[in-house]
Amino acid sequence: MIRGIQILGVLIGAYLILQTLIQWKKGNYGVKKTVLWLSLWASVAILFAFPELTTLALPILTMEDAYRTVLVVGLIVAYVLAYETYQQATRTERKLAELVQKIAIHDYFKKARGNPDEKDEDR
Amino acid sequence: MKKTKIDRPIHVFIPAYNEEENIEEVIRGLKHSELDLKLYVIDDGSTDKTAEKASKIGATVVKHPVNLGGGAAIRTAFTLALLNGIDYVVTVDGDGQHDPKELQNIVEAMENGYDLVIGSRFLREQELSMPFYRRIGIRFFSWLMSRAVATRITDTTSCYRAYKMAVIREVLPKLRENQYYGLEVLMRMRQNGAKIAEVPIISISRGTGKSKKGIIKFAYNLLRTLVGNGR
Repeated sequence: MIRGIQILGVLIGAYLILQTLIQWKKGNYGVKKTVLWLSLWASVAILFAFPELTTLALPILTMEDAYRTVLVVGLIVAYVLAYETYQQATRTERKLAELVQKIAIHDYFKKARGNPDEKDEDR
Repeated sequence: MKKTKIDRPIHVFIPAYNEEENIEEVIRGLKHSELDLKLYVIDDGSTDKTAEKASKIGATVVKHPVNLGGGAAIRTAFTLALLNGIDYVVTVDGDGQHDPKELQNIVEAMENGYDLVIGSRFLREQELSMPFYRRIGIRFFSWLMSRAVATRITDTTSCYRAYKMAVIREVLPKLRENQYYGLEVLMRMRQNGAKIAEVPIISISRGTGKSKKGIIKFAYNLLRTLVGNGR
């Protein structure tokens, strides 16, 4: 018998697949990123639909029950995603800082051009 | 330390964020110095009249369009100094906590061949205008940092500093911190073999307004710096 949590899991998986496809259609995701996310969300949906599949992995992961396996694997994936997000945010922050600094220095030299005491930027 | 006569311009950079209540006083104080100072305010995206006030009183203003943090402001200062072929720069906070009279000692130390001179609030006996927990925190972090850079540093958080641009040229591409840059610059400079000195400075409380520094964020930054900037 299908449990409520399974239906919810499949629906969430389907929703995230749809979101990924929308991002791909908008051109926000490349093929690699789209395939990666689709694989992840499809796996989530499939595992919720057929939780017994996790039993195949139990001996490899040396875990005893399927639900605990899903929970642990889910947590690990969440950690990886959180780290990836942190990396991305750091990269974006760095790029933003570089851009802002370039604008500030460009404006300074633009202003200084009228002042012979200030040396001009090499361009 | 022997007295040195300095007859060339000293370039002073003042990073400031929303310091309209203090910036004029800071610039006025520096202008009273016997040294020939060229003053630059790096306005880090202030939403108040910091830039206008600084410019009006005669400082050169370089303005970030958005707020990034003191570390980004100091990188802008370094970039500008390198583009202008400046030999060394002095940085002074825009909140009025640094006594312009101490500038002479910092500059003299630089003239004596140091690459980084830090104005330390802990080298002389004085009443410190900061909460007890902050004082202990700074002491602890300074001890930790001293071990990391193998040089005794008593005040790692002081931003009253002078930097030799020849060393900064090497470390600038590696600087990343947008907020608490002091530790990162210190570590990177030391890794490049910089000669570091501290000179005592008087601790004065900020003019008006609130400090934007938090001890928790600082501790987090310290750990990040120690982990991220190791060889």
